[in-house]
Amino acid sequence: MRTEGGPAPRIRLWDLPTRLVHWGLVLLLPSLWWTWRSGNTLLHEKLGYVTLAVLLFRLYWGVAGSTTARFAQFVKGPRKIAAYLRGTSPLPIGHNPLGALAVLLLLGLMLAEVGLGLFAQDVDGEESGALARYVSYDTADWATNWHAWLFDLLLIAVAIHVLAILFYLVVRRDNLVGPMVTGRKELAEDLPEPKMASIGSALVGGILSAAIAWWISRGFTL
Amino acid sequence: MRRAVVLVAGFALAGVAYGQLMAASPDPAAVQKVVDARVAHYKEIGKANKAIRDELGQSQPNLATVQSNARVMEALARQIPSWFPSGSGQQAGVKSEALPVIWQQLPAFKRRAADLASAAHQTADAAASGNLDATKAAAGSIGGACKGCHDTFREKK
Repeated sequence: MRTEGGPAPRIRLWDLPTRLVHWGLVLLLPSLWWTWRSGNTLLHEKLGYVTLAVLLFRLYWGVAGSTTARFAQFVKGPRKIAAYLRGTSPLPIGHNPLGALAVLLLLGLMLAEVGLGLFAQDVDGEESGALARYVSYDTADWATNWHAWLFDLLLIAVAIHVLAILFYLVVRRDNLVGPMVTGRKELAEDLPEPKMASIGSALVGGILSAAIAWWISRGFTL
Repeated sequence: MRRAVVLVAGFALAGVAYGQLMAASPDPAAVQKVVDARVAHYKEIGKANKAIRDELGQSQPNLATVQSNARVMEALARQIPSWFPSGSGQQAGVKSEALPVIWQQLPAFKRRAADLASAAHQTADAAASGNLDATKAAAGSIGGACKGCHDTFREKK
């Protein structure tokens, strides 16, 4: 490990699964957009099921992952958020109380988007989500429209997310992207290090999420 | 004097042009009605298509269901050209995904509609014969017929 410019403690902030989920979604989102835009609905669907698995894993990891990945650790109430905004709360390790809202918003929107996609149908009647066969044509039509509208909301949420990162970089002089790549961050003061979850726990979650996503992609049939 | 003649002639010409314009572009509310009915008809085709696809996705498809829906689809497909009277496209104030190329290439458009009718007809016949594989193959050509027409004649979202 390189320790540049003094004895600033360099801690493990984000574990590998959390980073893989993050950058995986960064790749999946434009790919999903492009496959839809270019009319490659079949690949769009397959990537959608991969996204579903990734999101399911993130939910699991939010309960069983490292401390910085756990919802219970970083999701705070309005009072803590207000204190953070006033700058009267101690600097948190990992997601700050306001950033936690962005995590919930992005995850929630993506889950809803993938969920709607499962019931959506294309205009040519050639392809439809794995669960569309369990609902009426009109319901599938409704899901299709919302699948399109929600994507715009998701783009807005992503834009806010990126702008916030730019704000931290330029105004607060805090680079959030580096740690999301390397997993490590130099802290100005000595703070208790986050507890990292085991690889075994990640494997269990990965297999479980993939199995559930696969089962859903089969329309709950084996 | 000459100026007055030019003025009168100008007004006359404008009047004729206005009259032509009004005759050429029908009442938007009437066009809207045509568009709404058209959309409703296409949804009927979509419903029949979904019923066929959903049935064929079952482990034990009921071919009678496939047959009846394919017959409905065929009957609807034969009507398609009648849902597109001239002037029922993207007029000012009327939202429609029907592209002007429909009326510019009407014979080609009608052939596309006939393709769908024939795909539905073959699906119904195959289902009536009780041959599942042949039914699936014929049903597969329905989606292609939809797409084949949409790619050229329907506005991309």
